[in-house]
Amino acid sequence: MKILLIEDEQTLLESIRSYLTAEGQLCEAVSSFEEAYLKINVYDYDVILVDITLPDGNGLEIVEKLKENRSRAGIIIISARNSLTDKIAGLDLGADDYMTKPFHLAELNARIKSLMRRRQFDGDPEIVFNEIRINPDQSTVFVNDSATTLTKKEYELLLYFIANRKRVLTKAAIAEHLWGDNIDSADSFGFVYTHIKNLRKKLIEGGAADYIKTIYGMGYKFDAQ
Amino acid sequence: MKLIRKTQRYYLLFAPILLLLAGAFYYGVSRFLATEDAEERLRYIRQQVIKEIESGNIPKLDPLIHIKEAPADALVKRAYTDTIIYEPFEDEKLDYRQLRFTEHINGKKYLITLRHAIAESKPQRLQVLGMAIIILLILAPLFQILNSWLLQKLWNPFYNSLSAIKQYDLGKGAKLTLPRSDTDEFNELNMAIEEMTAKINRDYLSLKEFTENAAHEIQTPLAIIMSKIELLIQSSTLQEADSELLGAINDSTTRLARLNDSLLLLTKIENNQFRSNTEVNFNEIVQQQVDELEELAALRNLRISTEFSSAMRIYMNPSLAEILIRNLLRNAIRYSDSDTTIIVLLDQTYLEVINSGPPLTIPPEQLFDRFKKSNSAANSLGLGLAIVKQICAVHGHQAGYRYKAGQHIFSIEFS
Repeated sequence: MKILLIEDEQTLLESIRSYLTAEGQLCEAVSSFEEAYLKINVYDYDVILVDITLPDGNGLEIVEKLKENRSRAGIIIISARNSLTDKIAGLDLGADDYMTKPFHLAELNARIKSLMRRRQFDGDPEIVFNEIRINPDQSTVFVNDSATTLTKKEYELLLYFIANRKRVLTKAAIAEHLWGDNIDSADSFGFVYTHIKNLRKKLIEGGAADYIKTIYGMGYKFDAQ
Repeated sequence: MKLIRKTQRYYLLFAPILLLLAGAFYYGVSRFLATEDAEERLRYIRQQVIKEIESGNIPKLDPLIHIKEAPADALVKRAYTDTIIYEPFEDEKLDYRQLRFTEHINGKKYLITLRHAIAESKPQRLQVLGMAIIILLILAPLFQILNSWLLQKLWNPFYNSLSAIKQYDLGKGAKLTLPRSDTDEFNELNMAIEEMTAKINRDYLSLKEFTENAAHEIQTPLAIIMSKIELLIQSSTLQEADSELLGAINDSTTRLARLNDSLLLLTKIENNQFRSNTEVNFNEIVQQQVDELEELAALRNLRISTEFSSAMRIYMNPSLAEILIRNLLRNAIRYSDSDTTIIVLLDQTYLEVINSGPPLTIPPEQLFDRFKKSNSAANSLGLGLAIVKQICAVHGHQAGYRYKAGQHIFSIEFS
């Protein structure tokens, strides 16, 4: 998957690129409006991550230009401004998602994957991880081909884990993914634990291996080994 | 005490004193003039008396003229004195001016005493006092009327300015302009107040801007820190002790990010950046927030029940309406005793969120202040209710709290 990252903050750009590259994505990064403008007119990307506030221009114009070019790329706006007007403007222009800084890289990764899944109409819509098979269209989960009933949050949690497999996910990142702004992170750790316990139990009962590892002091990791 | 009453009181206090002083002065001057007059007459009588004696006639008119021969060596210096003589005819004592002197006339020496009454042309003390009282009685009400009329006229620009200042809302950014008057002092005062408010406004705005800018500027470094921690966490060479440290750093950074986010939201509400008010279906928003938070409530074994007495529509910013309800519900979920029910009541005029729990450990009037939280909630940011209060403030609603029979009742009275 080819990703273009447009972000003027060099250090943040490095972090995002590093995380996405480790995921096996091809990630090109530019830090100015001008470079970005050149790139999008020449190359095709699957996903474009664009910061709104660039030193030499507004990221929203890039979204506009992409739509003008009839680009098929998925667009995620990343902004330092948690502004509803920016968000509405961005989504109205045709962006697919909007994230406010600071965000968890795992969250960004999950959103990119979810975006790609929604856009791949021709490909295999199912997500498969060893004996676990997920049909995102119907929100159903199969373990060894037999349906496993998960609650909405457990399902979201499983998708998040699989999108970030082999990655350590902090409790804070998981809580934010599941509940967004609705919960103060430190409060939520107990809730995260409850959901993970239930999910793990259901997967194991369905016949799956125990993939969810606890990383002491930090969080959890979904890994085959 | 009103200015007008105060001035009246002073007038009433000083008017008798002034009148008495004036009376005393008038009395003194009259007496002085009367004495002068008497002395002048005495001088004239003296010349007449001397002439009479020179012509061999010694006049006598008791008690006004008294002449007797004196030894040649007798020496009396010519002098005026006051004396009081009983007048049997009028049966009263009268003031006289008396001139006594010696004179050599036709080889003889005479001791002559001349007297002239000053009583007739001199005002009586009691009369003066009486006049003063009469003047006071006539003048006092006149003064009152004149005074209140003057005060009203003179202080009118002051009261105009005062009402303008009372209606002025600091922080809205509007310039305060006070009406000009033809009184220099008031103009000076108005100008000083205008300058002061302009300065306060500038400072206030720049402070508000600073808070917002600071919160914005903090976001980027925070984003960098968070991303670097996340990369570091993935490192396979981490020891267990490192993981624990890193976990703690991550938790605090996440908390800091949320804190900054909330502060930014609070500043934005204060700065009136949520302007787009529309008609909001409040029932719908409450239900939607309850649905979203029900799961969190369930994790604490709490139930949320809603009672809508009618369809409530209100003109406000929809995002702020959501945040308002969400913060109240989150607060209730956080502090409620477990295994209880949170009740949400919605009426045309008010919203109430009721949860059971032990009494507050902080004074209720501080409940809506920033960073005020009860000790049991170390994890709370302490901004949720401050945001509620601010949202209410910009829409003119009234946020309230009361504790009744083990129930915390948070209420919003709609404007």
